[in-house]
Amino acid sequence: MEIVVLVKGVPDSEARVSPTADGTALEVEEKYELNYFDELAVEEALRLREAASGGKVLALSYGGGASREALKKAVSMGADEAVHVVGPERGVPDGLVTATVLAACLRSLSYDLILCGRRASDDDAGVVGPMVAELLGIPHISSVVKVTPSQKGRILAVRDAGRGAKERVSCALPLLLTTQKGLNEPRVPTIQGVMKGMKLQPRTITLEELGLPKEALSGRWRIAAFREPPRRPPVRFIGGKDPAAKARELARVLREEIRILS
Amino acid sequence: MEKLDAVVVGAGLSGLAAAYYLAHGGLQVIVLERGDFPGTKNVTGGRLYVGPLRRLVPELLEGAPLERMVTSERVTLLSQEGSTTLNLRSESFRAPHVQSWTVLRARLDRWLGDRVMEKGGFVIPQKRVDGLLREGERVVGIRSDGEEIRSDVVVLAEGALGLLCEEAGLRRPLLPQEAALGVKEVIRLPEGSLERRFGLSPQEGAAHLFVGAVTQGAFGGGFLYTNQETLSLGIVVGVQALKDHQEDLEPHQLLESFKERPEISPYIEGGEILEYSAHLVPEGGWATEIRPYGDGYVIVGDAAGMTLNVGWTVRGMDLALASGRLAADAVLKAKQEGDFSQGTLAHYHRLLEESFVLKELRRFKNAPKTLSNPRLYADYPSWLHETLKELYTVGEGPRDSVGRILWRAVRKGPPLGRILGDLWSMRHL
Amino acid sequence: MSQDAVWVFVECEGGRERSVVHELLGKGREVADALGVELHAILMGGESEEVIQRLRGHPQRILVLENPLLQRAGSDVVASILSKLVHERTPRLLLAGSGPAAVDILSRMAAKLHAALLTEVTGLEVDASGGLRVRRPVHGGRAYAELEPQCPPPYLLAVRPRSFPRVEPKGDSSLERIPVEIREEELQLQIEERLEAGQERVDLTEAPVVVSGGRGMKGPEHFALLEELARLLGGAVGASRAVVDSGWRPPQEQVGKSGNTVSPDLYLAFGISGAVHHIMGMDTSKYVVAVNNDPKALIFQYADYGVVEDLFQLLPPLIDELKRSDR
Ligand SMILES: Cc1cc2nc3c(=O)[nH]c(=O)nc-3n(C[C@H](O)[C@H](O)[C@H](O)COP(=O)(O)OP(=O)(O)OC[C@H]3O[C@@H](n4cnc5c(N)ncnc54)[C@H](O)[C@@H]3O)c2cc1C
Ligand SMILES: Cc1cc2nc3c(=O)[nH]c(=O)nc-3n(C[C@H](O)[C@H](O)[C@H](O)COP(=O)(O)OP(=O)(O)OC[C@H]3O[C@@H](n4cnc5c(N)ncnc54)[C@H](O)[C@@H]3O)c2cc1C
Ligand SMILES: Nc1ncnc2c1ncn2[C@@H]1O[C@H](COP(=O)(O)O)[C@@H](O)[C@H]1O
Repeated sequence: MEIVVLVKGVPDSEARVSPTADGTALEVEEKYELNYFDELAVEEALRLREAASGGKVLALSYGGGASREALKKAVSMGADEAVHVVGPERGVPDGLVTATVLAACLRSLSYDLILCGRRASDDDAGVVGPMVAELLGIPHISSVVKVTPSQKGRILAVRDAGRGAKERVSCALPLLLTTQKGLNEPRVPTIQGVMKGMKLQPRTITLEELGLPKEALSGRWRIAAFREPPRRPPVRFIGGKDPAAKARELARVLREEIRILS
Repeated sequence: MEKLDAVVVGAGLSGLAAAYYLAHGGLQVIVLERGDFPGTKNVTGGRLYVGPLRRLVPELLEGAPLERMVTSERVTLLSQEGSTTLNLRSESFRAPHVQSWTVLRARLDRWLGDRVMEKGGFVIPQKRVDGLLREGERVVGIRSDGEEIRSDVVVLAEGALGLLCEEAGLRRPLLPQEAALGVKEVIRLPEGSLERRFGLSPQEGAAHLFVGAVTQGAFGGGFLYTNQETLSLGIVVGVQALKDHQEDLEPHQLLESFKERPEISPYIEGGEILEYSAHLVPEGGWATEIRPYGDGYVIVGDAAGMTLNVGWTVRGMDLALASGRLAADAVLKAKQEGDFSQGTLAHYHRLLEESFVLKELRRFKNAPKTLSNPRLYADYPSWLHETLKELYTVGEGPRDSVGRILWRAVRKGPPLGRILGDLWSMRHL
Repeated sequence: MSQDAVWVFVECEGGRERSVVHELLGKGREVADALGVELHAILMGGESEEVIQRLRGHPQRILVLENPLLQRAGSDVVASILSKLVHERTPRLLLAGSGPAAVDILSRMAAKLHAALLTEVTGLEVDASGGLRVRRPVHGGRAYAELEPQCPPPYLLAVRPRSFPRVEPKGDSSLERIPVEIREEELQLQIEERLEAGQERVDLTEAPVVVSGGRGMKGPEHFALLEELARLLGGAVGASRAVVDSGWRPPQEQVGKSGNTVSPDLYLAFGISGAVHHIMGMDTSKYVVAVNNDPKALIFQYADYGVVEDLFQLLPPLIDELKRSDR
């Protein structure tokens, strides 16, 4: 089975993120990691390859330096190949542009299965997977927590259907899956894997080579401003001589200040 | 996988320096570090003597993220109730051959790691080395999380505890009297207050040591270094002392009481604690006599016992960087000769002998013994303080003459012979 | 005047519209009024008449798509039907509640229609000239972006639950039933089995109060305390990843970077240390109350109110206290 994994590099959770004083841009510390859900996707792809004892896992990413980091990680975990569609360091705020680029590249690759994350932690959009599926004209199953290949080119998956409900779904290949937490526990790369990742020279593809018209790359949204999240006032500690007194005071706060019970 | 030229265990200063020069010499080298990135696990009070290093590791100083140049040296003797402070400022501290800078390891080590990568070495974090691969006496690689990596030579740069070296029988364990425990906080101060509180200009730094009641009279002391926007504040206590007074000496508690002292609290007021760390300091110096090489391996930095505590100066980082460099030179020579046996690697030992590293370590070989004298931490600080206090106290009645005060001091203090003895032993420092 | 209307997609779960639908109808009405256009609600047939009854009065018109196969249709089919309708009727704006199913549908629609889509929207304004400004958090709430479309409508927006208040219905609605065509072979995804969660649960992202527990809860048995508190406060139980990974609570209760993002009126954190990964999922809550026995716990930096106390000492009297005021 040939599997393509869509991977995105995102600022790690500790990276500083803050709007510039004039609000026109966002300053993001350049510390990247592979998006958490994409890590699950890579892991699942490797497991499927190992279970079938054959096949190929190719990691694909669109972007700048962050993409290189994501591809490195995918290869260090065990992906066979990496393709880097070279794009700007900061993409436009429109998932459809990303999806268009990825789909254009995917048309030139061969695949049975495409795996991608449920959402990326930088834009929290969760749109690229289903968009790619739509652009390629293939079905997709989102938020999968279990995947089993069945015979006759079908995939059997369990997906998280929200509110704790689960659905067992089956579908013919080619197919796109988006990953949900619980799918697997991603492996820690071995030393040799890390070295392979560090040495990686991914195959690069330029946007020109994909032959996309200019309009396809301009976003449908314009950023008018970036804002700081509203700041909370400093924490107010609720005191009291014993737990019962603190509980009384907390109950009063809930009723009278937060007004939760009124 | 094909065999590597070198595996370095530990991305501290010694390991990174070794890796840098090995990669520079064209060897395929990887550095394995158990922490999340180089520097996460490394604690240092915070001053690097760059003087001795200028010629040895110039590439590693150029553009390094050093914090502040120390232009003000302070020592405070603390008694239970007060203190005596010496403040030394000198323009000559700025001269290139004697400069010292405060450093933050999280920054410095990370930067060095990047330099190693630029040279083509691989620094791989989150990898703990679990053991050494042996073929007879020879070290032929390492084991980490079930994976075996083979190399011509292993550079052991694992720091003070030296567990791998110890397990493999390459060195004996540290004795309690040869080690101290350091606990340290990095505290961020509101902008501008560092300069104001310490009377410094923006580039200048202060190094401040504390002896006496910090450690309840036990072997050790306190330190405070000014970084660019933060303070490094901590204490060091002898492990033997910690063992002897199990109940009343708790390092974290000592640091808390230290911070409450009126000598300290104004400095850190309004500060925010950014990190807290604890680490072992080898205090044995060269007395521990570790042979830093053997078949297929070299030992560098703290792991080889290369630290120097002379009371008012603590050195380890410069020795770590230097030993890493010299070890790399020896390994490169071994590579040329295609022989990694102890006979060839002994060249490392010779290079150490010729450099300041072993000269200094030898010279201060007896310092640990001198410094283990409990009178330095209990009697002298309070005695000096009491005496000076009387000189400066003006009350209702007439004050005694200086002569009388001093005479009383001499009678109350330790016997003259003992003082002279203690002074004589200071020649080792 | 159906041209340029504002549409609200009525997503149903278990035979009931999601509560976010009523927030969308309120906001949708406000936006439609500002633009001088109609508000339409659009839903899949097969849902009960009661749903339609509850919608009445908000929108001018309720569009009901009818085909028995819709109940089994995947997001690709629904997206294709809705896209066709959007193409014919050219609404200006389509609002849906952010959530996996709706985002799937809207993403596919955006790709089909080359339309502008934003998800996780938390703010929406229309200026005098009809221009749209949309607000959404980025980087797990560490900043907000304000965006304006630079392309023609339709604009598709998936709005995060609890971003807008519920509004009481006024006026009446007309009803239009629209038969749609689906061929059996279009249904590529086959749902073989649906495993429901044991009991009827409140959706965490829609709950007005979330009572979360961390590793400080010590074990699964103690979550009964949080369940009781959640019941008294009319909320849902959440958990940190440490708790979910230990198997004390089911994964759907996880709050944080790799779990749910919640923004209730009140978020109560018991025995949670406050790792950034957790904060990323709850920092937009209106009020945060943290209980932790470690005064230095990070969670207090993100809280409005803090109680430094052993949670096992605090919870029983707190529950008693709230029971008393319940009466
Ligand atoms: C409180 C304190 C104050 C000090 N003050 C000063 C000072 O002011 N000036 C000065 O010059 N020196 C000072 N020192 C000494 C100085 O910090 C050390 O001498 C120096 O850090 C030694 O460097 P190193 O590279 O040998 O070891 P370290 O810096 O300790 O590095 C060892 C590295 O190896 C890693 N490691 C260990 N075991 C493994 C394993 N099995 N697998 C993978 N990785 C492993 C560790 O995580 C660490 O990163 C101080 C030390 C302390 C504790
Ligand atoms: C890629 C990635 C994604 C992640 N995603 C998430 C995520 O989505 N959600 C998430 O939550 N985490 C996530 N994490 C994990 C996160 O980093 C933390 O490890 C986790 O949130 C810690 O959970 P905790 O606060 O319950 O446990 P701890 O950190 O162990 O905290 C327990 C707290 O309970 C307090 N406590 C103990 N006993 C008592 C008592 N008797 N009374 C009062 N207080 C007490 C303690 O003081 C402590 O503060 C993620 C991590 C990674 C690397
Ligand atoms: N630039 C990109 N390159 C490759 N894959 C991406 C990119 N952006 C998003 N994806 C994939 O799409 C998923 C959802 O992303 P998003 O829609 O941005 O939240 C991610 O988890 C990735 O698998």
